[in-house]
Amino acid sequence: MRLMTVILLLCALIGCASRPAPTLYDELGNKPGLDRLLDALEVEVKTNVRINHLFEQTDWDYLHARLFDQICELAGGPCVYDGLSMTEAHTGMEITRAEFNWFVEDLQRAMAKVELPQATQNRLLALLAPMHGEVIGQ
Amino acid sequence: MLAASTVQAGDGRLRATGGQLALDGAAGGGLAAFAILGGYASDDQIGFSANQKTIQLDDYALVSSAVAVNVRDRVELSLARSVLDLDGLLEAQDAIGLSTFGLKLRLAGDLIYGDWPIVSAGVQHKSMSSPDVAAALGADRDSDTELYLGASRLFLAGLAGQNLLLSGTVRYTRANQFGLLGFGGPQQRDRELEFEGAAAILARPDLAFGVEYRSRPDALGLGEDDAYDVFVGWFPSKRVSLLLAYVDLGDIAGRPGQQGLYLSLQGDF
Repeated sequence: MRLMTVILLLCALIGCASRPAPTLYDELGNKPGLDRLLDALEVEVKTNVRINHLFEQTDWDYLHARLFDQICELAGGPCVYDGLSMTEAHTGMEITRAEFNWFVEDLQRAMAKVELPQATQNRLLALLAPMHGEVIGQ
Repeated sequence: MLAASTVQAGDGRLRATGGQLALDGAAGGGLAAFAILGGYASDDQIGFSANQKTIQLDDYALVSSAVAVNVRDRVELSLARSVLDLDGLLEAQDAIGLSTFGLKLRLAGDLIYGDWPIVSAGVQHKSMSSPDVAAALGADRDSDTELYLGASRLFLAGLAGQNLLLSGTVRYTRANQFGLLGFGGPQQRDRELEFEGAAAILARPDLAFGVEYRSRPDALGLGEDDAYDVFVGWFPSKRVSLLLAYVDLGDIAGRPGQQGLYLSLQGDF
């Protein structure tokens, strides 16, 4: 009991209970922020004549929910992505490197539109870039 | 699917990732060749780049035009034509011309994606327009072929949340002042390995700033120094870009401390 008190006192002094560092999910604005970003991304993709043909059959509510869970989980948020693997999700689409980059540009424009700080934008891109190999040419 | 199988204009890579055609005509920054290939062609595209630059030093002025074609982000062919205004250095000659034909091959990797940095090898054949100038300066030859091997990588959020570009290239060369003053000389007959590289921050998709370094031989024994620059690159679109740098080329043919502005304008298609 005495030991417990000492630990609690020490914690009060040096801040053991201080809040954890904000996650990328926090930087993105949590649920409202990530929803806004994905809405902006939807607008960009739908108006991008280079790649919108790839999304002709897309159910955007479904895609929004899957992307939300996936980014939220990767960004340290309280979500679990239980959708298809990236390879499975893109099989048969034969996405080219150029099409992948055009999608990245839509994401960049969307991130700029919702006014995410540049460092946050960079961190999100860094998180998604490793999917390149699972998306291209499947 | 039809669109994907035909070769398209070069716009399938992210903005600024083509850099600019550097001093020798190969894609890079300003002074240094990078491992990237010029323009924005992806692996199912062909891209063209045209570049015009001017370097205004204390006692010299250099004007250079370069064109390059990028075939499927695998092969880059470049041609650069530079003219150095000598400002009375030689009695017989007002200016020196240098033509550089370059071939660069992407061997592996990617600037951004995957596990490996982009790694490329290149060859450049340089020839002076006035052969007697090389002899007058004491250079062994007025044309030469150089080889280089480079690696470049853009680390997303690599430095305090900023995108960090690192590039390093080794060049097998005996060029005097990039070849403008001939090749080889009394102090160095054979080619040796020199290093050129850059570190830059991509502060925004359209804005890069950084530093470059390029080591150089001193075959003429005229105290040729390593070259440095500090640069800002602006890429308002994939079609046009502007590079502004402050360069320090050190002593050139006996004239000390040559520094000045490097201004380069490029179009990519």
